[in-house]
Formats: sequence, C-alpha cells, structure tokens
Amino acid sequence: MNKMHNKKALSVLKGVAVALFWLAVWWVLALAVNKQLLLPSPLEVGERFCALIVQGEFWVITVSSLLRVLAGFALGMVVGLAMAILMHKSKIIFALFSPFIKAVRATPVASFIILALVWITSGRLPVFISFLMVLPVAWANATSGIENTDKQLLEMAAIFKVKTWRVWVDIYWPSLRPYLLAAATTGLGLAWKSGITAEVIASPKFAIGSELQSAKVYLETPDIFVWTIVVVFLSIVLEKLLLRLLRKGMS
Amino acid sequence: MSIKIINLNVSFDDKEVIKDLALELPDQGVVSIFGPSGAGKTTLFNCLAGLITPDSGQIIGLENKKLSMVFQENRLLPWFSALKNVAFVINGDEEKARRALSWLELSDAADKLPDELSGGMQRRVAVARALAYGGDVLLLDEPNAGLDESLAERMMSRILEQWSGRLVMLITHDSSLVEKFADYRYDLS
Repeated sequence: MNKMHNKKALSVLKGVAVALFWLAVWWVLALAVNKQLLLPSPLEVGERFCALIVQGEFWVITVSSLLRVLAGFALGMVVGLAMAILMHKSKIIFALFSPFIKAVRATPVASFIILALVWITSGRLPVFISFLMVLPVAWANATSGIENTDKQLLEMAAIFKVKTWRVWVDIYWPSLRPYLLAAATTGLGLAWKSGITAEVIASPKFAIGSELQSAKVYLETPDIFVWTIVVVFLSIVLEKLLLRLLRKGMS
Repeated sequence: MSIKIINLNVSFDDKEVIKDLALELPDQGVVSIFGPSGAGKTTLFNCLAGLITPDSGQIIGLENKKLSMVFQENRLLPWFSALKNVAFVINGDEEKARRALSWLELSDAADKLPDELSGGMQRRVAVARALAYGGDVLLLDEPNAGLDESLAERMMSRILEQWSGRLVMLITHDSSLVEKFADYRYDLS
C-alpha cells in the first residue's frame, strides 16, 4: 500500500517538475521577446485568467462551447453506429452511403464549415461540424467491430434460432464495445478541435472560438492564451471523464 | 418422415470432402458417424444444420424438424455465465437452463464464466445448452472432448435419458462410447 502511495506521489512530483520546467522556458522566452503583443509572460496570462474566471460570462461561454461539442460528438457516435448497422444489414444501403462517408472523410474541415455556414445558423454550425468529423470515425470503428464479431458465435445463434435483437445485444454489442471506446477517444478530440475551429469561423454568441477570434482582432494576446489553455484543459478533462463514464456505462 | 441424404457432394477449394453420400436416417436412436480426420464428418453435420450449402445433392425430411447441436468447438459467449449461456438459446428461461445444467452435474458452476471453468466443464455447458434447446434431432460433434471415460459415459447416459424417442447423431473417436451407445453406425471413409 505504502509502495503504491510512494509511486503515485513520485508520478505527481514528476508531472509538477515537467510543468514547472516548461513554465520556466515560457517565462524566459517572454522575457527575451519582451513584447506582450507577441508573447505574454505566464504572469500576464495568469492575471488575465483570474480576471476572466470571476466573470459570469466566462462560464456561460465555456459551458455553451462544451455543450455544442458534446452534442455533435454524441450525435456523430449514435448516427455512425446506426449507419454501420444498417450498412452491414443491407448491401443497397452500403452502396448508397459508403461514397458519402468516404467524401466526408476526405473533405477538409474548413470546406465544410464555409459550405455549412450558408445552410445553418452560426450557433448550430459547431454542433454540425463536430458531428460530421465524428461520424466517419464512429462508422469505421463500428464497422470493424461488426466485421470482427466471432462468426462461430453468430452461427451458434443461427442454429438455435436466437432472436435478432438478442444477437445484437448479446453478441454484437459486447464485441463492438472496445471498438466504440476507441472511436470515442479519437472522436472526442476531433469533435473538440473541429467544433472550436467552426466557432472561430462562424463566431456564434457565447463561444470559446468567438472569443479567440475577437482576441485576435483586438490584439489581446493574453486572452488568446487564456482561451487556448481553457480548450486544452477541457479537452484533457473531458476525455478522461467521458471515457471513464463510457467504460462504466458499457461494462 | 425419416431424413434422407441423397447423392450429397461437398468440396472446398476443389478438394472433395463428401462424395456422392447417400444415407437414410432413422427417426430415433443413436447414429454414430465415424471415419478418419478429414472424412467429412463435421462437414456432414454442418450440411444438416444448414451452415454449409452442398455443391449438389439433397437432404429431405429435415424441413419440419427442430435441430439442436453441440459443435466441435464449445462456442460459449465468454462474457456470460454458464447459466446465461444456456438461457441465451431459450429466450432467457433461467429456470430451464438451471435444470439443464443440473442434468450434467454443473449446478455449482452456473454462475461461473467460461474462462473460470475447465475444458471438460465448458464442454458440458455446451451439451446442456443443446439439451435445453430441445428438438427432434441432436447433432453431437465430439461431445466427450476433454472428459474422462467415466464422465463421458455418464454424460451420454444423461443425454439419452433426456433425448429418448428422438434421433441423436454422434461423432466421436471414442470406440467404447460407440460400442455402448450407438444403435447404428455409418463409416464415412
């Protein structure tokens, strides 16, 4: 028990040491550049961060962005899984939709954002873009999971005339779980990055991307740093939290 | 109506596995199918179960019959307990599944996962599953694999008690089981 505690403490210490090292590098570089506009110091960014988090708007912006990205992610996972099932069951559906998925995969995210701006309101665009980025990942992983399901178990279920829904719930689903978890890990990062990018371009109300965009326009470099740190922090926390939840929910 | 196999031919990658097989099966009793490895015993079972479509020939009389099977492999769901594996094929009826496990002396293993069972116990779970499912024809592909002689004999006796008055087809390399239990024998070689 003591050994485990020591190991954990050592790992935390190591993490703090690495963080302090890079903070020092940043500080030295900021001192060398000596221009807040180009590279603010950690202290200046820290001050700005403290000033922002006490404002109610900071939390509204952060939660709004979070909800948009999560909505797009969840939609992408569900539709990707549903498409994988339908395309597995019907060759016609497969023939119809596989070019669509290939096209979504190959198209740069910026093209979609600009194109979708014509059709969708700026508030919904990040949801749509996150959805579109997660969809092919969820589809591809779910398809692999379905294709790699043990054929012998499926034959067994066929011989014993097990109901189709039971085959999906009790054979396909347990086989799919690790593939979906892998899709969720990759998809969440993609959803987050593409969602914030869409916010930068579409500039909806109450959005981290819009704050980044306005900070760029008004040359408020410390704000760009603050919002970027918020994005990175949330991305890490969200990934850990959501994956833990998914693992728990799927087991 | 008895089951008739007429001029059955099956080949894999140009290799003939079953050639012009003709066989009439009785409605009840134990039919032992034997022959060397590669003679097509499991392939014949797979044809009867509809898992393989023969190149030519016909199987008549199976249309209205319910078929149950113990595969060459156990084919147990690794994430389900022994009990749930049996219940899986009978619409989740755990009471019936528990009874089937007790026929094969597996009551204590009901809540264990396949990984926690010995090879012989896993085999008996697969047999319990086939018995619980029921039907008119039971295909047993090496049901005694991993079991010692006395346990294999006890298990066969239990199977026949539960499956009396119906047809059992048996593939085994154990000649003593064939001697003791088979009513008919068919050499595929």
